[in-house]
Amino acid sequence: MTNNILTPEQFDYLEEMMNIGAGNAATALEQFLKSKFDMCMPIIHAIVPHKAFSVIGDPAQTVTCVKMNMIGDCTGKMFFVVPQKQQERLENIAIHSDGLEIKNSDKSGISVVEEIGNILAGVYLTSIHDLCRLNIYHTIPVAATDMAQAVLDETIAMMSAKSELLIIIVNKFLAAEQDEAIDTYLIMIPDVNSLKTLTDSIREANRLVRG
Amino acid sequence: MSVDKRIIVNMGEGAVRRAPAVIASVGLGSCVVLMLYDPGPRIGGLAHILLPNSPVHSSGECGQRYPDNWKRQRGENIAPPDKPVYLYADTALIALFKEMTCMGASSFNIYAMIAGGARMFSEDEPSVNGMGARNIMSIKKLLKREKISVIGEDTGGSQGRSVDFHLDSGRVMVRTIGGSIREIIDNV
Repeated sequence: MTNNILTPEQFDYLEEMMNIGAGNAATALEQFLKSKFDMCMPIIHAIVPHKAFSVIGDPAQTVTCVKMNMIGDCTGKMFFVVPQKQQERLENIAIHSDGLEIKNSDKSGISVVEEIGNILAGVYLTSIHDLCRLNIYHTIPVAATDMAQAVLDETIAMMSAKSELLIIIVNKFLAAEQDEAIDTYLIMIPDVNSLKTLTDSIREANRLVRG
Repeated sequence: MSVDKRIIVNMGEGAVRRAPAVIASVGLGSCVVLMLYDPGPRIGGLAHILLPNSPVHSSGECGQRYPDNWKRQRGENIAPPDKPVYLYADTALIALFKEMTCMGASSFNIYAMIAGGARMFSEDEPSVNGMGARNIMSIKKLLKREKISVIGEDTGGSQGRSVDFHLDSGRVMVRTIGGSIREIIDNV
């Protein structure tokens, strides 16, 4: 799904970057959770901020959301959203993982999601860095569990007046010995001042690659 | 009550109805719902507000730009047609009020209830600067200026809310995750 901010060529390139990111993400998760993961091709949506729930689904569903700020050449916000059911499955994988020592507390599920969000954000930003030559970092993640719209509305409110682009990366992980995929959503909202930097870099990188 | 028509109000939207009906809004974080009710003809309105001030006149203090007699100026355009009126506290209040009085509510009997304005991420900046707190402050200031009394509120905190506004009784039920339901009662 695209909007008018990105041309089809830019969107293709963005998709390509995110595909590379997804491959690295699966590897990173395997290392973190010591469990084998298959990952479907991520689905990328580039839409206007207030349309976010057409992708995420029911605004009232309970999700765990990790919020990070993007800093560096491109500033903005990042969110990693995991619906509650999927979070329980991730938690389950983490609990049965050999490499992780999980303290038994109410917050353990949230900290697993927080850490996975941290890893995925880093991996995708690295692939943007490698292919677009943009230095983007993210700040320390903070997490909250609540209704999907409630956790996102402040940012959507602040951004809707200024920003025109919201990138949602829908990742499907298939853990070994599990039939159902785990859906996660990584959301990037570049600030209005950074949007041009991002689209210009994508265009330039695309031009260099395709000659 | 459950058989009543249920109207869902999304972000930046508003609705005015006559009883019997339930106006609902889900997933309020820093957003605030402003509910106005006239118990006589049982007309109620709900606006799902995202931001404290409309950008059109952002230089002035909120609400100041409207002439003091806006309540009497019926049918006047309250915002440019392409601007969503219910997105902003100042334009939303006027839009709700006007629509309710057009439907037959009496401007003297209308009272207000508010819900929402939470701070979802505890590590964020102090709540004074949070969008939720600013929304609530702005709405209360506007209501005070227009002499509309706030009879109940469920605001602040760090939990998202869903709101059901029952127009036949004027009751407002607030739900949070974990299934707890509470009513906004005359607590101010």
